[in-house]
Amino acid sequence: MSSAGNSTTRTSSEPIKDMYLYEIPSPERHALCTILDEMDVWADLAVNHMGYRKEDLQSIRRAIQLGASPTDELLAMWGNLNHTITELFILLYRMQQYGAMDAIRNLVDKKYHRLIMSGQPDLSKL
Amino acid sequence: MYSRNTEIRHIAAADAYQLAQILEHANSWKKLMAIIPKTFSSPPVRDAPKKYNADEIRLIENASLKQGRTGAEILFDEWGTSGRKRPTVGNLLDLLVEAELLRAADYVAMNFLNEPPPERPANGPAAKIDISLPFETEEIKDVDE
Repeated sequence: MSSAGNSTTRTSSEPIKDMYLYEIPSPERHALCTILDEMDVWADLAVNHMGYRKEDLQSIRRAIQLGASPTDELLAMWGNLNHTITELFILLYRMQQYGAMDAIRNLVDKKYHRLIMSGQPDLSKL
Repeated sequence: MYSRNTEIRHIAAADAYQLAQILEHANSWKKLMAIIPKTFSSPPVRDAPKKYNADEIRLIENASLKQGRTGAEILFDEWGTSGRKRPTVGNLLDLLVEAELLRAADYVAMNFLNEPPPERPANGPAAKIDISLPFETEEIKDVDE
């Protein structure tokens, strides 16, 4: 699989370059943390979708003990692997986390926005 | 622009500084330093004896605090001028990939060597997530519970 960066075919109408996760602006980052810290949704994301093993999450447990946001630490770790915001968006879609997807909708290409509308908000987690 | 055979000590200070900033995140430079082998062989030997031990890593950490320089820059100075055969950008890239320090590895591949980013493993946290929209043609299927 040759991966020449994240350049998908660009048409002029697609203003948004696929941003790296470490470039996420703080308002969106904070919104994600608020949503995914709830009910440890971040742990489901980390283990079942990002492929982390339990023992990889040591630094996140330390962050929790220090009162920091586990999601913030998780995003930093995964971002350090040079993942993009669109990759995160797709994982959130697989988890039906439409609220989190909505929080970063402006950071992904318009063509992905219908994924948010494709299901009702996930009320079961409230 | 550099080649894989360029010696690390010949990397311009501004470029080394950029890379060092990336390696500051989550103390990535320590992960790199910990896996530097005594001697490079190709193909690389599995768990070859390491060049630096934990004390030497701490020494560089203390030096970075005292000098107000990043650990990575001090590591590049030390490592770049050590050994009969000097370490090269190619050695550096291979180690960054081995340690899965992929933001730094991509930076070296794309900015130093003008190469595409290194291959990602098939699974695990570093695996690439498919962002194509496969159901662009057919109706959007309900995601099964």
